[in-house]
Amino acid sequence: MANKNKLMITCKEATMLSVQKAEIKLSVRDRFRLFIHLVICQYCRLFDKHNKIINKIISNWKTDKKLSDNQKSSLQNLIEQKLK
Amino acid sequence: MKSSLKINPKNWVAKFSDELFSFAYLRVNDEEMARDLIQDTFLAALKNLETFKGEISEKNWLYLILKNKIIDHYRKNVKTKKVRIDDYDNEDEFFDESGHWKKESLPHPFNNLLVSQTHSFEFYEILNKCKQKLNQLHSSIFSMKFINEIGSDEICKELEISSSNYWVLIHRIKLKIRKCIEKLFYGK
Repeated sequence: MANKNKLMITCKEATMLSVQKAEIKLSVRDRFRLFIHLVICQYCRLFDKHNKIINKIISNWKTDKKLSDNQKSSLQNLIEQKLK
Repeated sequence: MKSSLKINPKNWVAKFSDELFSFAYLRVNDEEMARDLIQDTFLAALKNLETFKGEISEKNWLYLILKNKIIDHYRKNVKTKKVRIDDYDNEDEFFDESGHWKKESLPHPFNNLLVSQTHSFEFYEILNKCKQKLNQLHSSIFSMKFINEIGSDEICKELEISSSNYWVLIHRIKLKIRKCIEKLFYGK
């Protein structure tokens, strides 16, 4: 995404690289540019950190929603009927 | 009938239905739809009992069927809404023209309270609320990518978008989710 020739990138470009690095391997140049930007920009550093936390949370996403007993017994009936 | 030794549909509800249901519920975010998907999964499994070769466990086999049902569900959902150019071309709420953070969008530190609660159920409620605040397209992409772990190639194909448009969308979704978590958690 970032302009190929600049060493200094904008916050918009830095946050994009920060998002991309979770999924693809960044080029050495981009990794370096992101690193430099994060050293000097506290806001993008926060974004980068939060992004990692959010990724971790999403990968552990759980719910305590369950099927009711009625719903289970109708599923059970359905299966037994089909097996006959 | 080797497979019949390893597979017992009469136990499916008792052994697997809760797990499969919560898996589906998280992904479609709709109880009724999740129930339908579980039922469809069991019916499809019963129809295809002879294809179960015992190479994977009964449980993983059911998960596999369910995952395909969920992906079909997204396909149907996404097909009905073509990506419009203004979905990623409208005004940038996060960055100004020179690519710097706009003042109202600057990230604030998450405090330890939030970080320590990232495994709690309440936190997932917040995440869920934030997901619901996304527009339909963003929400579908969020589910496809982050919950169903569908690869970017497949998402681009399904939505008929280029890889650079894909990144613009993912970038924006991440910015929105982060901001929303911060806002709901601190009331900022």
